[in-house]
Amino acid sequence: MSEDPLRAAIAGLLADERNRERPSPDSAWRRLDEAGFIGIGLPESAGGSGEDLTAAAVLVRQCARFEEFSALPVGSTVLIGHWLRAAAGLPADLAPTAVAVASDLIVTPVADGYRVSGIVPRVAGARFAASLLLVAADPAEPTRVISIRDRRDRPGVSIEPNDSRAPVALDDIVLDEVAVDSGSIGALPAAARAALDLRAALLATVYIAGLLDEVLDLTLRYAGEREQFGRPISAFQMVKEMIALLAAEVMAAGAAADGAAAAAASTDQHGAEHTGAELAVRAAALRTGRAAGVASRLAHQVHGTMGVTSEYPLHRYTTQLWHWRDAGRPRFESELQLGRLLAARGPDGLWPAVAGS
Amino acid sequence: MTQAAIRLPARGLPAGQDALREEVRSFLREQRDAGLFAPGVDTWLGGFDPRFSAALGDRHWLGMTFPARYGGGGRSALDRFIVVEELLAAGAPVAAHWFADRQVGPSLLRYGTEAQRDRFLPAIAAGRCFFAIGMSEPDSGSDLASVRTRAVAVDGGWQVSGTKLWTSHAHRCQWMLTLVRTAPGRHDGLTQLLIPLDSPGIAVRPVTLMTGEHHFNEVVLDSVFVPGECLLGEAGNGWAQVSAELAYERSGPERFLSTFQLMVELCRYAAATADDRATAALADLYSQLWSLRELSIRVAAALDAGEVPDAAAALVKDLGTRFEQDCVEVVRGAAGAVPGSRLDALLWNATLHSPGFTLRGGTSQVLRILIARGLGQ
Repeated sequence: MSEDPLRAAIAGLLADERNRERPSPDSAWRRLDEAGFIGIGLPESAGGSGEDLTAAAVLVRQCARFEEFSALPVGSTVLIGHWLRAAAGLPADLAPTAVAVASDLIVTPVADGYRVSGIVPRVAGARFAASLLLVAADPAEPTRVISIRDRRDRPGVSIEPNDSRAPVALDDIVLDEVAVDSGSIGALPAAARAALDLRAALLATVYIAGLLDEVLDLTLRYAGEREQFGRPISAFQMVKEMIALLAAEVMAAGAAADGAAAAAASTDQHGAEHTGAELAVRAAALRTGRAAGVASRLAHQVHGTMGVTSEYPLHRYTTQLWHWRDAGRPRFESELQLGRLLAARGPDGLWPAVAGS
Repeated sequence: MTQAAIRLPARGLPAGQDALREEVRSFLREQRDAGLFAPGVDTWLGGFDPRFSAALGDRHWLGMTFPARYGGGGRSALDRFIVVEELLAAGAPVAAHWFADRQVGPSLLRYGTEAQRDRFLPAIAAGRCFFAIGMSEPDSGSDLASVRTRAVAVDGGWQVSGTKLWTSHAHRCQWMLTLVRTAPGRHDGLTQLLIPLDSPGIAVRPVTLMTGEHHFNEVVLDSVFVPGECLLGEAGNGWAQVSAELAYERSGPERFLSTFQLMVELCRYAAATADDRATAALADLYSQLWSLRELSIRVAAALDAGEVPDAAAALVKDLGTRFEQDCVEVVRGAAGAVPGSRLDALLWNATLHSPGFTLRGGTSQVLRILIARGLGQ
């Protein structure tokens, strides 16, 4: 399916689910799965049609526009899970999957496999997930990926909702001597470990672009409907200006997210990892992070106090924007990381880095 | 209430143009190494160099989108985008041919007569015919539709009287594409004329910039006779024609690359010192520039497909020119310019040019109204 029909199909399905009397994440997931969207990116060896990052990005971006379903781990299943399992030699799995990098899991070999213990804090989508993919990143050891399927039936696995960033749905995963057979732990090659970071950045970037699309739509609607001084507030030049500035941020972020997905997809097709995709993804992550802050400020200003009430939906998008920007680490660190890549190419390499060749 | 007017699909630059890019880069290296130009800021407006323009024409890098029968390259607007962005990023002096190549050529292709195309396009593509743009007037800046320069139909043509202002390089160009009023009204009575700047009755007076540079002019037309064959398109259709022209004028890479040479110097400094602040600033500017370029390519692709994406073009210009201004301040703060250094000189020049970034080609405030209108507001 090419991009536009794909976008329309996903949006139509989710809008239909949203308009039910009681929107149900379970039903939304089931329908996404039945329509084949959860299988986007499933390896050919597992009966899928192989990696399609562009389509996966379209899916993630559309899902972001439906906050009712924000607890569904669509992105971590489709954009990361399928690929990560293949990279670590684990069997494919279409179940909703939460992915987390865990720095201090205790993995103990036993006669019939391993026992895994530890706490993985603030994982998105875990409460809905049936499968957990935990990347045990101990600097002293090779990186391992631990797959825990059907986690609801597994002794020692519990999910504790963490409301520190509500309404963003975050959960702590608590593992207590969880039995994992040896076929469910795979080694992650170093190159794939680096690529995982980029994928996570791409996922957040594309998701933010979708949140921003919705924030712009909400703001356009509100400004056209809300009347003050006898006319819609969108008739005032001061408001028009805020809307134009908001639109510019949303368009720049959206173009950046598209460009990053395209660059990452072309890297995939050519096999080898190269820096072009890394520059694009890191640049797009910074740009969407910047847009998240500016756009949220402008959208709330246009909405007035209505926008900060729990009843009105705006905050269920802006809160997510504030949470997901800058990938959960200081922005300055992300800037330094990209800046060092650029500086290493030298002044004559700067323009080729912009032009992509 | 729709994002359709500003949300353009990603079409991407054509693949397989690395050779073209490399050809332009190697030409630029030769010219620079031979001392034929020094990379500067804002050189698409300030760097008027007919020799350089002719050299580009000789290499078929002007009029690239014109059909071959008019001396053009018969290539897409996206191929042209590649050449143009390479020239701008290098800070090359491209002002002489800029308006002719960017907007007059496309307007002639869209609205011109066969005779006009034959007359102008080969010379523009050769880098030997330069156009000034006569839009603004003393009393018509942002409110372009209020232009008062009048053209009255006379035997064999038009008689034109009025004053144009902020006319870049009119003292060095042969022609001026001029917006005039041929009938009362606002948008309805406007018309575009191709006027030779050596016509009797034209006086070109310098308007010196605060930098001391002279590229702006006041062009006074006093009962100037313009032959009928110099009418572009239809009399009365000037507003629609100018709107199409402005989409070309507003969305190109010159709206975010005017200060790129400052980023090159910031990169040099970051590489030499490994200074954290400079390194982080470089990344932040890069991320903005890279994203703007992605947006700008979409507008170029829409133009190439025959659309008039005026709201999207306005959005690129507003965002891009604000970026250029921010770039000056960020580099000033982070790159440790030593007084008297090349960077110090570049920064000073960029600082003095920067207020103009968000004025020329439509002020940011007017652009934002256009963007909001495109969004149905």
